[in-house]
Amino acid sequence: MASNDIVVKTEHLTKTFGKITAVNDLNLEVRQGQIFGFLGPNGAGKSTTISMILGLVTPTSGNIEMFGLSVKNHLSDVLCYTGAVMDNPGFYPYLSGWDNLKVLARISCQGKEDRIDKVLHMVDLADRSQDKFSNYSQGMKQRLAIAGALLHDPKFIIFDEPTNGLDPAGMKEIRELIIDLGQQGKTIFLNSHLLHEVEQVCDHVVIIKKGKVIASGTPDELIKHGNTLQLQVTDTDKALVLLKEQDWITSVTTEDDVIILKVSPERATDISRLLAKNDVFLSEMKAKNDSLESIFLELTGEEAVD
Amino acid sequence: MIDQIRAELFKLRKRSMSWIMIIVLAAFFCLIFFSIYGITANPPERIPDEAIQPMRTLITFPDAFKLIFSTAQSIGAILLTVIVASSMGNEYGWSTIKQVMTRKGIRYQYILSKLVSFIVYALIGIIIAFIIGFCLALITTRLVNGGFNWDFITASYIGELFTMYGWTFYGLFVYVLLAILLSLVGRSAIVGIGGTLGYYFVESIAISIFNQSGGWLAEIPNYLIGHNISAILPTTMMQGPFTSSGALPSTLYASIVLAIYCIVFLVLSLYIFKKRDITV
Repeated sequence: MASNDIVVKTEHLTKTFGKITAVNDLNLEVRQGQIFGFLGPNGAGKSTTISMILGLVTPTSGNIEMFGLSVKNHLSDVLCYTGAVMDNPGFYPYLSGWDNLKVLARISCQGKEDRIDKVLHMVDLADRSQDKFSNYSQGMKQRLAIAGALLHDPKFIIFDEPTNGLDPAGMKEIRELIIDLGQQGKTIFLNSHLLHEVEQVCDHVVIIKKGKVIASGTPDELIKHGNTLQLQVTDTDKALVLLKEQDWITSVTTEDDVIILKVSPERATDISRLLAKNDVFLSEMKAKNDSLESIFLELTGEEAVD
Repeated sequence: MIDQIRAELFKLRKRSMSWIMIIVLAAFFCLIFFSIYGITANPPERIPDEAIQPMRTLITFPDAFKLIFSTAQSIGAILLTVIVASSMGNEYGWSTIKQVMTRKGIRYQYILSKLVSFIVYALIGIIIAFIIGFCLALITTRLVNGGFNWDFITASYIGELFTMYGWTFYGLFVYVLLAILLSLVGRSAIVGIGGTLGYYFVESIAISIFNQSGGWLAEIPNYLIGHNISAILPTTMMQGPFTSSGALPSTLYASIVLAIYCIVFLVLSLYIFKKRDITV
């Protein structure tokens, strides 16, 4: 793909706050039309990265380019093509939803007041647009933030936890809206804690930890990478020795008498043949397809929360 | 930039606090005019007659204009500080600063558009204060003198009124810039309001103390905001509430000192806002 297809490119992006390094030598590429999932545990540097992309925070070192332009030197230009739904969106509590969007339309470079009604309909907030923002529920605030981000019809939209505070129906609507925007050719940058949401909508995912990329690829690639086979055999010790000698098996571990292999399930026949040849017989073999969530938890060392 | 200024003016216009401040201003005017009238109509025995006459003059035309501008400056500074600091500081408190700065991202434009909106608000505020004060002075002049004598209104006097209007605004402008700076430094409305009003009141006490002192201490007020604001107001306005007493510097000197304050406050505000990360 030509380099001009790249919407966002960060090179060696680093941000330190005193002694704390929030983002450490981060290299990202978001391509045109992608729905790009940006994942990481709390404190991984996601919001700092987003803030740097939007020019709110100045990088300590490294470069950010958007639409081929340096953010440092052309911030105003790149923001014309960018919409952002920030985590905990801020609006003027004494203004109505409509008036808040009117303010944003006036200060956006291509914002037009005649789009206000359209974006309010898109997020299903038209009926309550004359209510004061201070009377909005969390879900309505989130919808208004999305309406605000779409106001100037941007090519690139950053969603930072867009479904925060929404009920399941609201989450589904926002998910569908993101997919719809993606189908319209918009490039989406999605930061969400809801991993199944990311799995469903994103076509590329990056996982960061302590400000560094630790995994990157399509959701399928990441999930495949995390696939495991669980075996029970007649001679566990002998099987372990045999399996550890195979370079196509990523890892071999045991849990009680169960052998856990990090390997593509398509290699099941090869494993069966290998063990049988050496007089080790399978009593059970089952494939375990990981979800993006389990991959995320494994890579980031986080514990699952019920 | 024009659209940004329009957006800031729209926010000010839609905010109930902006209108409440106008009502408070009107209330203060009523309080001052009718209090003075009350004292002059039924003078307490402890106040000598020779002190009553200047008070009567103060609430009747033409001196009432000086009372109007003096009150607009002193009370206006307090009310304007509240509006400016809350408008600036609450952008952090409400996290709207992020929303705004991810639109165009030109930071100096944002500060300047805010400043222009506050200037417009202050200019309109002084006009409203003038109208309120004029109506009150009509009443008190009628009550005190039993009628009106408009002979003092000449072209040069009207010019003088415009000059007073300008100086009143200039005095307010310094506090607008101080409130913006402190709100930005503290990223909060409370710091802006507390800091500016704290300075305003502490300075007026300090000036009184310094004026009583001798030597180099007596020179210090010449470098302070309030003392120089008193110097740019017409001499008869010196007796207004919260205005400084003692020997005042020349109008030219005071204008230059205040201009230096304005430049320092504005440059610091722009510098701090440009350099700082927005992380709220």
